[in-house]
Formats: sequence, C-alpha cells, structure tokens
Amino acid sequence: MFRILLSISLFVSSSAYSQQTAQDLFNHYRHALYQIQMIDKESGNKSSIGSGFLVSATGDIISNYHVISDYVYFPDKYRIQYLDAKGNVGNLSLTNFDVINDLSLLKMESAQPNGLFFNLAETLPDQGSNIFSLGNPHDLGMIVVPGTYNGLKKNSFYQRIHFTGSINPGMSGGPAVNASGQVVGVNVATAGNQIGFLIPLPKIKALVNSVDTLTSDQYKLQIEKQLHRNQKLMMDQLLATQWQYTGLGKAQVPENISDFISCWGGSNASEKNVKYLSVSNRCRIGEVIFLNGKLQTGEVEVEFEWLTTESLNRFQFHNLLSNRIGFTRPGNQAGKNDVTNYQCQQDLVSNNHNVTMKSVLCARAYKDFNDLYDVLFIAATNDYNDGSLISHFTLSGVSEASMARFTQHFMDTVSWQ
Amino acid sequence: MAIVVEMLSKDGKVLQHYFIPKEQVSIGRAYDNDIRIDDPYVSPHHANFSITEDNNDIAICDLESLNGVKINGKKSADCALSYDDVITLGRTRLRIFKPCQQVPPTIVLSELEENLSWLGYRRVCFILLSVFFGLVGIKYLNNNPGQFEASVLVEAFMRYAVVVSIWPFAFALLSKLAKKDSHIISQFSLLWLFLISIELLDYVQAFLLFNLDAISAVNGVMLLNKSLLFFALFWFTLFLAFHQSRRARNSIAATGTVLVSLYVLFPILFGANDFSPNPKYTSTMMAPAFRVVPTVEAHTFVQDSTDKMVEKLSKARLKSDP
Repeated sequence: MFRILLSISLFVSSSAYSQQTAQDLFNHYRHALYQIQMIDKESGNKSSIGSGFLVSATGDIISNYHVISDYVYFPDKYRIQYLDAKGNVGNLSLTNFDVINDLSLLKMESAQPNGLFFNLAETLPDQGSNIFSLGNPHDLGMIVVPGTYNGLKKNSFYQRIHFTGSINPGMSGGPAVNASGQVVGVNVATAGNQIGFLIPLPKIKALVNSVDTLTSDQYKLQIEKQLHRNQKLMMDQLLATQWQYTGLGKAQVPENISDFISCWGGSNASEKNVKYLSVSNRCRIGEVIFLNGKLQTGEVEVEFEWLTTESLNRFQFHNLLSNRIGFTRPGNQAGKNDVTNYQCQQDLVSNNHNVTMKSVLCARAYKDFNDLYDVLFIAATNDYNDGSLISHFTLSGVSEASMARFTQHFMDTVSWQ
Repeated sequence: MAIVVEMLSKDGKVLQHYFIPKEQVSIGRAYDNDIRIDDPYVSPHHANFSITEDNNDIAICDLESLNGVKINGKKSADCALSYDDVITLGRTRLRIFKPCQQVPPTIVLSELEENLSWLGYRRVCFILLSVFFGLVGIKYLNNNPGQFEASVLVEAFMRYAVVVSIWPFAFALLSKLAKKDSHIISQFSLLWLFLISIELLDYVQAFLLFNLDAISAVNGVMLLNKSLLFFALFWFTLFLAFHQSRRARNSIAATGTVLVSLYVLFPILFGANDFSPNPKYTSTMMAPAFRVVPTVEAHTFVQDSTDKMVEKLSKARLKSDP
C-alpha cells in the first residue's frame, strides 16, 4: 500500500514539476522559436511549413533539411521566410545543411534578433530525463510537448533520440530542450503513439560549427558529397561485419547482416490449397534519407525465399519461379526528374560455392548526382528440379564501386547445406 | 466460216455460248431465228450478223427493230464489230466474234496447289486443331498449376477460336465472291499450322532466353521468325483464295507483314524512353536439364554487368540533361 501511494505521489509531483517547467520554458523561449515557411515566388503563398529555432545572437536558425528541400532543389522558384511569435516575417538565407541527418542552418537576412537564443547542451541527458519538444504542429501555433528522453534509438544506422512524446507534422525542425532550456535534439519524425525521433546534439553541433556558407549552385554538389560519404560508411560497415548464416530450405543464407538492419521471417505453411512451400526471410534498414518530395534514398533491403514443391511438375514449378522473380519494385521512391530508367543485365551465374543462379542485376542513375545509383538484384537458383532459392536485394544511392562490392559479396554468400 | 455468239451477264460474265457454223446469224424473239432471245424488249426479227465480204469483220444489220441495237451503249447500226464490243438488244447483252479469235495463254497448272491438297482433308484439319488445342492446354496447365477447370479452359479456347476463325472465314468468303473455290478447310488447316508454329516458337524463345544473356538479340530474331511465319500464312492464304500473279501476291503479303510487325514494334520503338519506376527484364526459368550453356562466374558477371550498365546509364544521364 505504501509503495503504491509513494509511487503515485512521485508521479504527481514529477508531472506537476514538468508542467511548470514546460510553461516556464515556453514563455521564456517562445521569441526564439520560428515557423519556417517555404514561399512559392509565383503565387507568394506558403507551400510548406516547419519549425526552427535561433541558436546565436547573429541570427542563425536551425531547422530540418526536409523543411527547406524545395528551396535546395529550386532556389529560383522558392524563398524561405520565418514567422516569429509576434507575427513578424522576414527572409532567411540557407547557410548549410546536412542531408543525411536532416538538418539545415539558416540565417536571418535583415532583422536583428532580440538577443534571446537557445544554447546547445553540453551532453545528452540521462535516460528517463524529462525533455520538452517545441514546435508548431499543423500550423496551429507554437506549443510545447513534455516527454521523456529514452536514449538513442537502438539498431539504427543514423543516430536518433528516442523521445516518448507526440511529435506532429509542422513541428519538424523545432528544438527539444532539457529542463534548463538547452537544446538536446531537433524534432524530425514520429512513429505514432507517443514515439518520436529527434536528431541528437552532436549532429547539430557539427552543423552549427561548420564554417562554410554555400551558394545556391553548390547545393547539389553538397548533397552529392554527403551521400557519397554516407554510402561508403554504410557499405564499409555492412561488409566489414561477419554475416551470420542460417538454413533456409536446402540453402544456407545470411541473416541479420547488420545491427541496423532488422529482419522478419514468413512462410505460407498456414495457407490452404497451395501447391508449394515458401519460407522467407526479409530484412530492411527501414530508415530513408529524404532528398525531395519525390526522391528518397539510403534504403537497403535483403530478402531470401526458399520455394519447394511436391505436387508441381518441373515445368509448372519453373513457370512459377519465372513469375516470382519476374517483377520487382525498387526499395526507394524516385520520380522521373531525379532518376533514369533502370538498365538490367542477366545471366546464368555460378558463385564460389558452386550454386547456379539465373541472376538479374539492374541499376538506375541519379540525374543530379555523379556516380550514385539505385541497385536491384534478383536471382533464382537452378540446381534442383523441385526447389529454388530466390535471393534479392535493393540498395539506393550507392556508388558504382559499392554496387559491385556488395553484389559480389551478396552473390557469394548463398550456399547449399 | 462460222460465228460465235456469247450472251453476257451485266458484269460481263459469259452466260451462254453459241457456235453457229454459218456466215450469217439471225437474232430475235421469233422461233425461226438462229438464236432466239426470250426478252420482251427484243423484236421477233431483231438483227442479222454476217461476215463481211472481205472476210475480216462481222457486220451488224438492224432489221428495223423497235428498240434498236446498241454497241457499247451507243445506238448505231450497220457497222463492223470487234471482239471487245458489247452489243445490247433490248435488255440482252451479247458479244459476237469469229471463232479464230485468240484465247489467253494457258496458265501452268501450279504444282504447289497440287502439293497443298492435303491441307484440304478434313482429318488433317482436325488433327492440326487437336494439336493446337493440346499445346494451348499444356501451356495453360503449366502456367496455372492446381487450378485446372475444364470448363474454363474450353471456354477460353472457344473464345480464342472464334476470334482467329475470322481470318479463314473472311478469305473463304472473298474467294467465293471472286468465283473461286472457298478452300475453307485448307484455310483453317493453314491457320492452325500457323498458330502451332507460333506456340512452338514460343518454347524455342523461352529456351533461348533462359540460356543466353543477349536478350534483345533473341527477341529480335524471334520477332523476325514470327514475321516470316506471318508472311507465309498471308502468302498461302492469298494463294488459296485468289488467282493473282506471284508478284501481286508477294507484295500484298509483304505489305501486310510489315504493317503487322510495325504494330507490334511500335510500343517497343517509341515507348522505350518513357519513365518507369520499375525495372524491365526477362526472368525465364527452366529446369536445370534445359541449361545447355556454361555458367559465368559471379565476379565476371558483376564486373561486366556493372561496366555495361554504368556506360548505358551515363549516356542516359547525358541525354536527359537539358
């Protein structure tokens, strides 16, 4: 009884405390918070909104990259504008951005800030600490959301803070602060149900401390540089770790190729009236890099499926296989302004374990960036009359060298048990 | 000397042929004429035709008939006639000439036509139909394992058969209109032969696509083969249906084949550059027993494919640059 009472009273007091802090913080810092608007130059109206916050006395504002991505792609068509708590508006220029971590650094063009700005925290808080997310959800006005810092997201290639609290569209780019009002993260995404993600402090510091100021003709080059660095890092990490193997039908295939790629298994064993057995193992990174409204990249998917049959004859089974591997979708979303059509190559290939596969390798190039490709591979083994392993992967935004390295590594991982 | 009289239909076909071994022929509705015409617009003694004194021409003499004599539609009498002239008495059309008139040269009896006679046997047609039905059935079973329903298969086949039957029926009708044998059985046999060949070619194509990596070359060669088959179908259909010169037949069949090929090629030629977010490739699989070419090693495949794709993609990027 005592323990329950105690915990209730603790809960009440901590909740009351965070209420108070939230109010104080909001009242104190609301004048360093801005709504960031993309203004379509033709119509003069805002086409998208996000949040941003002042981090210096000289007018430097931090927001998300995805809030201002239209401007990066079409600097002639859009301008960036802020709206402060008093309703004042002013133009912003883009200083620099980090497309991998979805951050942008903006600068006020004319208005002198009032001396109030957010300080960056020294370190990330302890797990379980109260932190507060600020922003302007759905254009409803600035709000504060109290929540809990739950450490860095596990199994993630890109570091993200797991924030237990609601983050909604429009709050993107707003700060998350500790009880002293120091920035620990930037709102970026939500997984629904009180699960939010924040970009952690070190990434913000790196951008704020960058000295470069980009001109509009350098934007795409900057994206290209960052994508290249990131894909190389990811490939190195993926191929450096020893892949673990598991049996799938007669085959042995890799599973859990990396901590940051999560896998699920499946089979059709519970379905009725199927003439074949399908056992599958699908893995994907599940995090994408947003480049513009029609182009996302950074996806990695790896899939294996063992198909076997007792009731189909070899013609029926191989027709089934043809259809199974006949249609694949890319892992990422891309439009015709951003990528070329796929080119494909195919052949009957043996790997170093003497597994024979009909293999198809396809790639499409990014139009704006040199040496970056979306890659797609699918193969079906051709060693048994009544069973075949389908192996499949997609990569997006990788260099030619990475494509060759990964494909080679991937093809050689399949073996018969 | 003798005179030949032919009664003609409205479109110039010979209805009746008279050979009169006399130098003069009388024509009319009365019973004492050499040639009696039962036409109410013809007078009892309408006209006389006689070989002229110089023995060269046939002259016409109108015997004061009520409706007169027309030569090539014009009213005239007492003039010399030639082979091409059409004489009209009342509503009757005639051609009158001397028996020494030359006939067109004899057409060589086509050996091909003799050799194709087996196409016209009902049992051949039925066997070919059964083979085609069997091939379609096997394809259906291999593509839809475990969903065999005879009624669905028969219904689909019937629908297909009705559509393709338009071809032999149309040509049989046309040849009937051209006063020739319809050769309907032969036309059907020909169609089944064509469709069987196409089905078999599909298997060859699948086999090649499975074994070879030169996909577009295989597809090109197969399209060429199918065009040739279509040309053959068209050529033989025309051969059975009409008496044409070989040249006319060749050019009609060639034009038809080119048009059909263009129709098939059009989307490939002009749709190739349309943006598609999904890759297009061929994924034909066959059992290991059908693998007849040596496999390539993985690193060779990866290196070659990457090089080729990157080269093509760089070109595509350059092309898309404004």
